Amino acid sequence: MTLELDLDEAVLSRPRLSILAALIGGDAVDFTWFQKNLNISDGNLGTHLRKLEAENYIKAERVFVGRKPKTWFQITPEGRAALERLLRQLEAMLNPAGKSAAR
Amino acid sequence: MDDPDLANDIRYLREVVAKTQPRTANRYWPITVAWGCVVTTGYLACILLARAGRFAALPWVWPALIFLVGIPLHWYLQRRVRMNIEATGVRPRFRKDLLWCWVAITAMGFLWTAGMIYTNAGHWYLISFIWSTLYIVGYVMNGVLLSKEWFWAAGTLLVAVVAGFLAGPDYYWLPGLGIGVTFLLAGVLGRRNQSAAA
Repeated sequence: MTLELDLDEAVLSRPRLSILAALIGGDAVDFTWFQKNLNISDGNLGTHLRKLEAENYIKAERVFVGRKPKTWFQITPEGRAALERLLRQLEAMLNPAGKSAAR
Repeated sequence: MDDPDLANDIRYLREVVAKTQPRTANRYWPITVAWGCVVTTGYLACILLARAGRFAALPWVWPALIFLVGIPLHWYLQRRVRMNIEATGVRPRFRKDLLWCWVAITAMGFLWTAGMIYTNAGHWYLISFIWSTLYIVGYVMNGVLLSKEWFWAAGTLLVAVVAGFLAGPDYYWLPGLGIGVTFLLAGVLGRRNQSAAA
């Protein structure tokens, strides 16, 4: 039996999924916050953020606080839709009959 | 997922989401306290001026307090609170829903007040009853959209309105004074809730 999965590879990775999950509340978050809370190495974090930005799933706003540069990351409507789509697909996979999993 | 242990991944994601979900505490409680002080002071100033017979000064009390004290203080405190939050690495989103809620309530209040003044259609105390009932709606909306302590403020103001109405004309000042006092109540409870959530 083959199982065809049309899952969004840009979202389906633990670091990128956790970045989107962190931003889903709507607040903007800076690079340092991700470093402290996501437990991802700096290089990897930068790569994952760039990937999500390239997919237009997050947007970056670069500002200066005093003389220090700071980048705020915020989820875009496309990113929110992609995360919600993935969650729906995963839910459908786990519960193909459409029955409620809640107990 | 990269990690084969799905349960661990789900637990990890839950923790990440919990850290950035909109909080149930009002981090802007200093602004609530500031408006509580401004409104209570304004109401007490009106009472004292009326008792002293200085009625010419009455129309200037609210514009002076709102524009010269309330709004600058609001701007300053908002900036300070926002800077403190941003120092933690999170920039809160702009709450358009709350803005429009309070713009609508204020516009309704001004329309009612203007209508009553121009048509000379009622006693002064009706204005305080109108503003109080509008503020109850605003507090409930704050409770739904922002944090739960606003329900206490709404309940207290509702009690003040009903008690003032039932107690008769000698106590018709109660709802008006209740607005400022309930702002203070919401601010103090907001501070407590934020300390508990921290």
